Amino acid sequence: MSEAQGTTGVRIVVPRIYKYLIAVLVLSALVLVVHTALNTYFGAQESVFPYLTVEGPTGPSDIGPLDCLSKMWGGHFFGDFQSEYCRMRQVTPYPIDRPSSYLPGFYVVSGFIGLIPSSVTAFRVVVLVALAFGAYVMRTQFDRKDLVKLSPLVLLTFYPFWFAIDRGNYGWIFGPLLVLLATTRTARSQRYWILAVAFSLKHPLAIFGLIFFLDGTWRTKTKELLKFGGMFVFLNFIYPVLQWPNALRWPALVLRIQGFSSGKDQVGMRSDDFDIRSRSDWHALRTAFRRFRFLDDVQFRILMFTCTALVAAFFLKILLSGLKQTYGKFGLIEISLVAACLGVLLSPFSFTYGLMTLLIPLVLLVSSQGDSVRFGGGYLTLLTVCTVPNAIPLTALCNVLFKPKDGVLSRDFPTLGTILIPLLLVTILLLVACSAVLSYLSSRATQHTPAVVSVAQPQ
Amino acid sequence: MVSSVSLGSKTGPVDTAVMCTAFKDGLLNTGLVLDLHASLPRDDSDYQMLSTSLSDDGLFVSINEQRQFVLYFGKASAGYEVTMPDPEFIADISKRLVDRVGRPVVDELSTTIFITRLNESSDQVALEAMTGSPFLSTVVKIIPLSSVTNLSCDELGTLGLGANGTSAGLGIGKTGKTSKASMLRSIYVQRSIASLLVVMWLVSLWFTRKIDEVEQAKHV
Repeated sequence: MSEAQGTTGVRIVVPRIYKYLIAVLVLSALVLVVHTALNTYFGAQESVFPYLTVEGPTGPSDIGPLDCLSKMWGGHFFGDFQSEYCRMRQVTPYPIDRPSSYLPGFYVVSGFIGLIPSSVTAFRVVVLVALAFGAYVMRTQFDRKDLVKLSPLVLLTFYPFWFAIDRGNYGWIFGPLLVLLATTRTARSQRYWILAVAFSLKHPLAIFGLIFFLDGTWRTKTKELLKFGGMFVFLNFIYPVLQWPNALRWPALVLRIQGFSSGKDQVGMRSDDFDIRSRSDWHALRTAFRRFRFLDDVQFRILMFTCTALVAAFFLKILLSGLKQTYGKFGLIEISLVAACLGVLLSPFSFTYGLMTLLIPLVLLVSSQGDSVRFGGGYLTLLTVCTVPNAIPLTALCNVLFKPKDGVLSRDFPTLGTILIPLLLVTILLLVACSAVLSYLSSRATQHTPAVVSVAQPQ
Repeated sequence: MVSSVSLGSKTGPVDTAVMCTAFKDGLLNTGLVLDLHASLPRDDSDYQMLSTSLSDDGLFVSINEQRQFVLYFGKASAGYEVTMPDPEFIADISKRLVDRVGRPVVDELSTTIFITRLNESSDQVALEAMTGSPFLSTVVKIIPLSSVTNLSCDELGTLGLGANGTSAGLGIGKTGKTSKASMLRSIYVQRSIASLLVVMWLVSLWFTRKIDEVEQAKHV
């Protein structure tokens, strides 16, 4: 935590939440200026800000049944919402020609939305509930009254939240918020079902199951895991059979995911949603570097060196600044950082709205819990850079700078964010690994220090 | 309101005049709902369930050797095809063709097919088929309106051709969308209410904990 010297000599501690909010505003403004400058310089080539989804005048093509699609607001269809709303109002959410991206539990816990007669009204209700629930969850993380008032701003300035709303992807909104709720001390006895619901809403969040292993004895951990498992199986496999008429063979359908069970491809859930090799951010980074292969060998090596140097510079700067101080034990925040970073890097859903997972460590870091974390300021800086709208297109810039021999670069050339975000997340993971080693060494040193008891002192 | 016309339950010629009129009118304000049912011996033959024309460019519904309902709209080679999933018993390795006393195993198969225009101004038509077996599922195909208006329809179709002992029933709902909506409503409303109950139970778990906390605080 930074400290400033007041004029009267009183040390004023600036809460991290203030610094975070200011940093987000400054960085977002900076990105906007850079993007506008690039647009102005390169003309109309990259005039579209790639920060919101464009679905065209007829809307997304993957929404079914087709008489369900309606334009909701201006040119926006909020496609992910409409597709699921329409599924809920059908015979089954898993028609064989439109595989789903969701576990059955998703339809069990949110299927009541289908009771609202219009998709437009349903979407408005969901957004209002998301805002109210988000504000409530943020407040649970703060104790100080002035910070509680500010806490909803953390969510409102978090760009992936708005992107998830723009997509209408409420699974990515409520899932991470529920995980965040489960991290509060007061929710300790209830977190088995909160996490079961969160993972049912978005299965990539399952990596946050690491939270179960944080505290308590093995007996209590086992008990909690069993309760969680029971709830998860109930929501995803047992309840749908009871709930949905005529769905006698429902479990077979659920398991009929390509690779999970034999049967027709594309029945039940979308198989490529489980393909980490082809749809993760890590894969996106590798693809991004491959797109730079038009550079000659020396230029490509310089690019790779620059990226490695960037990671090394961030890593060393944060490492050196955090080495001198003593901190509490390795715990919840580090675990949530590992889960969030791996979730984004390896999750098949982890594009811009997938960054919602970063909200969990970010809120923990700006709350009072973040003060006792080694490299806390560094993590917060890296997370902030990752989550501001940084998808600046590089196509025109690279066309001018490098003049590719094969002509102009393709439109799907990587943006700045595609390269920057995975690199920064890898840096965070390296720092967490360092923190784990340092905590281990420090705990060993403490254990080996002999306790000296003075004879003269009363015991 | 849904007005149904039963086209019979026997193999042979059937009156498809209502269907043909609806097709020729471009399904304007009218949707069609075909309910088909068949009792078929388990064998390797395929069966034609319904045809609207003696020529090969009409509407055909058949059941193939995998016991999938297949809907052909126009010529099988150049038209549109909707295939439902194959029933579970086909995938079963121990597929039995006869029962213990040596009689052929008979399977009951049924499907409901909705043919509706997307909306009054649209030039597209949705073919949607729904089965309860092997599991509750739907398949949708979008075809141009011209395929419907130009469809060959002889007003005297054929039902259950090519199978001895096969029966089929056909009903036509004049207002297909209404019929579909009423059919679906009971299913999804039941599911939605069940979902609401789960959510209310979970929320009550959360608030029970909060009440306990407040009471503990009062004691302190």
